[in-house]
Amino acid sequence: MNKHRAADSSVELSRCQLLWRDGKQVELPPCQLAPGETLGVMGPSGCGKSTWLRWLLGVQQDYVDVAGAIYFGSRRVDHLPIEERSTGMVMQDQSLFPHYSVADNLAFALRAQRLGRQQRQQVIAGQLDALGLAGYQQRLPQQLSGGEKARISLLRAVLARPQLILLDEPFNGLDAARRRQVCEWTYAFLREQRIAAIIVSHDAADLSGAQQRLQWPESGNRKDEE
Amino acid sequence: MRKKLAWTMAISLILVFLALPWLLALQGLSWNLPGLTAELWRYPGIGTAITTSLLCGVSATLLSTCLASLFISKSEGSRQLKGSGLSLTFAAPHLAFAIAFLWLLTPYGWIDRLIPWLTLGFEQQSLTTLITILVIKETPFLVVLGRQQLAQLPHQQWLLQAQILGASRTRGWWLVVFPAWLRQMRLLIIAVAIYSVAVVDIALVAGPLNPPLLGPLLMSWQQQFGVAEQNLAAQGLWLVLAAGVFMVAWVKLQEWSVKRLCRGLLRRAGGNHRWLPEGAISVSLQLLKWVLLAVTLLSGLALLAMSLGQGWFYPRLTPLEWQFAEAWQLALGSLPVVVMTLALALATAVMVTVILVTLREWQRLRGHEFADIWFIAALLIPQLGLVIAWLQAESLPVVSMHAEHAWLLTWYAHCWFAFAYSYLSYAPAERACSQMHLNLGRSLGYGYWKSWWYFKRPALRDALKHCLLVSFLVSLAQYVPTVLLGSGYIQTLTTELVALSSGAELRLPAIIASVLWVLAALAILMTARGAPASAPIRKLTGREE
Repeated sequence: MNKHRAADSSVELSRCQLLWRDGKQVELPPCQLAPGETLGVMGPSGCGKSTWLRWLLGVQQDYVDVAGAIYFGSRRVDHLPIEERSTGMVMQDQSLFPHYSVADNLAFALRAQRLGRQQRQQVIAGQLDALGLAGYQQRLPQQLSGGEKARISLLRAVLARPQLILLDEPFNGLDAARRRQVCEWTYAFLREQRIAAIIVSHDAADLSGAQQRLQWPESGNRKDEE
Repeated sequence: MRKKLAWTMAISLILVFLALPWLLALQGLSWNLPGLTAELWRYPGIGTAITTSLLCGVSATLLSTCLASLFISKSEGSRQLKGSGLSLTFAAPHLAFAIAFLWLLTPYGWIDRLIPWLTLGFEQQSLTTLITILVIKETPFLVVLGRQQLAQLPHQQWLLQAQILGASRTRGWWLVVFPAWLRQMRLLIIAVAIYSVAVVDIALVAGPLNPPLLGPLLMSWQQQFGVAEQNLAAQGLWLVLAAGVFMVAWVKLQEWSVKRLCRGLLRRAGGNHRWLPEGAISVSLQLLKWVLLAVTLLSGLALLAMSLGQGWFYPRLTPLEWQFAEAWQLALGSLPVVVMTLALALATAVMVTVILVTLREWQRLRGHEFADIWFIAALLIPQLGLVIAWLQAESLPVVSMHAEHAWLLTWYAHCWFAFAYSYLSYAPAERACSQMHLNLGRSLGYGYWKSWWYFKRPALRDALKHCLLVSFLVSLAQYVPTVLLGSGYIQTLTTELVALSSGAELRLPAIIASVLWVLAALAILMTARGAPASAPIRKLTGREE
């Protein structure tokens, strides 16, 4: 790793090696992301992209060993538990809590900011307004369209003020026209919020707005190498 | 043509099975629409009976829901709490357990003889004892079925999302997963609440006597032939139904309070400060689990000892002598009752499984599912109220023939009540099972049911065995329908046990309770073993590995 760490708000990933129990292995080059910058990772389904994302997030996975380091500025975070890692994630199905309203879902992300009740309501209303979703506070996730869910999921992740957001095939399940629209909005929103992000997808069109690109490397086999 | 006939028969069977009891109940209620007269309110102790029944229902429901929630929350992270200890308590027959519990833990009981200075506070027939027995029996029920309900929620994903948003796993569980799980458990908790408020069998053995709870009181009115008592029974029926409505409201209130509390905490700013003594709760639950296991095992042993011992007077720790031959003779004497119990339980298990499978496949074929509530409605209305309503529907021929066909009517009632419990265990598993293999079989030229038998049944093997087991166990435990609809012609181990437990003689009830326990244990053991899932397919292909 570099001895001199980048500015505190940047995200730096060291060279990373993923080694599966069946001997398959992948090595990823190091990269650095400035605030608001996005890394687009492309590769076919099942190549290990989601496994890597889960490692970045801090999820224990007993079928793979990962060697690498994550730095937020000068702080190494890859040993921290999920809740202390300052890393957000938006999943394929967006994972809003279906039994809570939009306002409750967003309020959950605002907890750490210790806002008063009125202030919190103002923040939620303001953000929804900015997204063109004014008055959506009391709606339940099942009352939202795919595009609305995608926007609110990303907004919830952003409101928690993470240093890095991971997006795992975030535009799956959207029709072509809406997919393009939501995709453009996502990149613009992340730039505006100045949050570094990693977006993985198997579709090159989804990564058109990313400043950095990474084609997922071909996997090798440790046994072959031996 | 043959196929059409088969489906028509299946649908008729389902309709007769599901709709007829409700028609009977409605008929019974419409024939009997008395207002609650002053006569009922003047009955000595009626106020206390109502109050204690509601108290029993509310306490047992609240306590068992709280304990089950804690067990479920902790079983996520603790292998010890995932174990089968609670399943063992769950599998013990209610009534046999109650008899043994009383003998173990009440004054002059075995624990009292072993540790005389220890005061446990359980009286022979009291509300506290009854509530304790209900909580001990209902908590494992909620835990075992609660795990199945939890498996239907994407709770791991929610927990992960909660953690990503900065909450600890524990906080995420209570704020995000718990309200959804509780909602998913609503029908099961209502079933517990309804059972607890109108409990008859355990209340007759362990509940307060003067005045008794509403269930036993109504039962005693119904069993007397005087016009006044019959009139009281007719009015009491409405009282029990009203108690059931009260309990449904109580469960909704519980759920609403939890949801409001969680929403408040969810919105409240703050870090992950400890708001529950996690360590203490874990240790307490471990301890509780072992206590429950010990009480269950000790209860089984106590029944065995009571069956074999002679002259076990206070304060002796062991009986004067062990009489194996006499115990065996007494057990042989109850053989006709055992045969009747077994016949009813086996016939119930088979019938319920057949109807359940047909019903699920019919819904699959229609491509539209009815809400679960229609199929488990029998659990959501006090059983005593329903059975008495059926008895009131005397104008219907199916009821008026009950003297001659008591067995048939009792079996029908057993099937109906067992169906609701079995539905809860089979339907989620069947829903999770893909139709792909069945359709693949059909595309290869097999008929629907042949394809089901060879391709879908193996995948549902455990669910089907569980369905058979649940129906069998529910039938074993049925008291109210057997006594009232069997009208004295049908004696099962459960009805015999209740009848004998009020006497001073302990040995015969203990023998019957032991036999009941053994039958339940045998059923569990038999369904735990079986051929591997691929056996039918191997038979079909003629391949033996």
